[in-house]
Amino acid sequence: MNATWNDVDISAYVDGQLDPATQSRFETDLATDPTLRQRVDAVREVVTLMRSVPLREPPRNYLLTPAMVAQSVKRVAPRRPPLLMMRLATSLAALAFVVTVGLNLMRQGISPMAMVMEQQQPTVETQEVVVVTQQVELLSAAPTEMAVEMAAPAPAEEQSMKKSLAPAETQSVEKYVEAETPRAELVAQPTPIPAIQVPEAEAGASSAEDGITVEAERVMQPTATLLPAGTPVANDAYAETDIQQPTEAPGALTYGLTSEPQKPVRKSAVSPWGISGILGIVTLCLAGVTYYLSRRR
Amino acid sequence: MAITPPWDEQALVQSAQRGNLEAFNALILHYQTQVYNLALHLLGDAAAADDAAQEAFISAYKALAKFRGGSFRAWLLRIVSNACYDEMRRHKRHPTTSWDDFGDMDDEANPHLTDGGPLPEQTLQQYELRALLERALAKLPEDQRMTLLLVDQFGFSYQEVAETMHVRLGTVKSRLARARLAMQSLLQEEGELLPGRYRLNSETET
Repeated sequence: MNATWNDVDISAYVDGQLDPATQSRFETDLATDPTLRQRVDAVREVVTLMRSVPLREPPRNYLLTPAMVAQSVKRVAPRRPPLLMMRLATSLAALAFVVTVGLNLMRQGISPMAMVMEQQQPTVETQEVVVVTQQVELLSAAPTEMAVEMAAPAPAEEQSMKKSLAPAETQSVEKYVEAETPRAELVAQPTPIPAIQVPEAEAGASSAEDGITVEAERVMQPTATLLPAGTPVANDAYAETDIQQPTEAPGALTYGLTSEPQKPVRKSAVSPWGISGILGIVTLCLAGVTYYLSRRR
Repeated sequence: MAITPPWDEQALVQSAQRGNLEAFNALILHYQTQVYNLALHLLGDAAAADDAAQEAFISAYKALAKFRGGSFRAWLLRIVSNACYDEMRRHKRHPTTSWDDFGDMDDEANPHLTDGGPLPEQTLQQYELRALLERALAKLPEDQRMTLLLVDQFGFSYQEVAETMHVRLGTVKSRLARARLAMQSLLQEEGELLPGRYRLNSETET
């Protein structure tokens, strides 16, 4: 029966913390159970021992003076407004930092592909430029033969071009462009553009990567020289080549161009970087404000 | 003919809440021994306990408007324990068992609080016993040590302990029971060091 009394009950009994009914049952068991009585006595001895020991005296009195109280009160009051301002400035600085980094990452992330994609948009009317551009893209990652095959674009008007290319590995780009585009006569004329001479590159390259590189470089040249004549410039690379090779292939320029002369639209390289720079400066300014406020009491 | 006013804690607290520093100092004098001892047992360092006690009283005075009744000493010692835990966190301080380092701390005790008379044999035995108990207490977990101090040394009720430690009554009971059991074992281990008249009967019987 006394097994129901645990140490918590015994401790509470010693302190008189059991409710009357429980205490009555406890005392009934206590009268008949020597083991329970022994456990109770053991707890009582510890309590007695603890209570018999005097507390240590403090080394001094801790009385407060008006100066101590005033000092402590004065310290608290003016801290709040700067603290709020610091939090606000810190939050703004963090936000500006995130936006800046995000813009930079976005720009870096899309820049390689964006160059190719943006080339396609302004030259929709000039199919030869599209073909050359896609070739550049594919040749940079695949062997020359595959690049020629895969260079055939998905649009329906270029399907025939792919067919004409398939049997003859060394067929020139001019030929299949000529076969399927209404402006074939323009491309078929002898031009000083070496890049469109794909067989040359293939012959030199066959399976070697160097050849692919050469071809890619050559393919890029006409693309670059084609643009200055009035094709809308999609990005910085074209803008630069526009300046560097203005007269290198004047004849070729007219071939690839549409009849609509357009002003070269320079996509501003300043705007994203400008925003990033401004936000960076704002971040620095806010960090400076935070530092200044943190130094203030 | 100075007339000592009767101890009216509630009136002193209310007066202190109205900005009467003298009333608060009267409360300080009444509770500073408990405050200091709790800090000493939690921090295990006399200098740190001294600082913590002073800081706790300043904090208590500043926060006096937040006291909404109940046990004032429970509220006060809660501030003390919080100050001690802050101190532990700040200095990564852990309670040590170096109670021997204190020696006879009463030599440095406040002269205004001690009579300075010769120490009778009984008092010496009490000091020996206290040193032994303090070493044993230091081996207990913090929550059990604090519960045991509050109940068995400061005379707190279970409810006051619950308010001080911000726990439920059941938790107070179980912690206290475990602490007493542990102390019983610890004291039995060092039974021969106990002054004869303080030796546990349970030890002599077994």
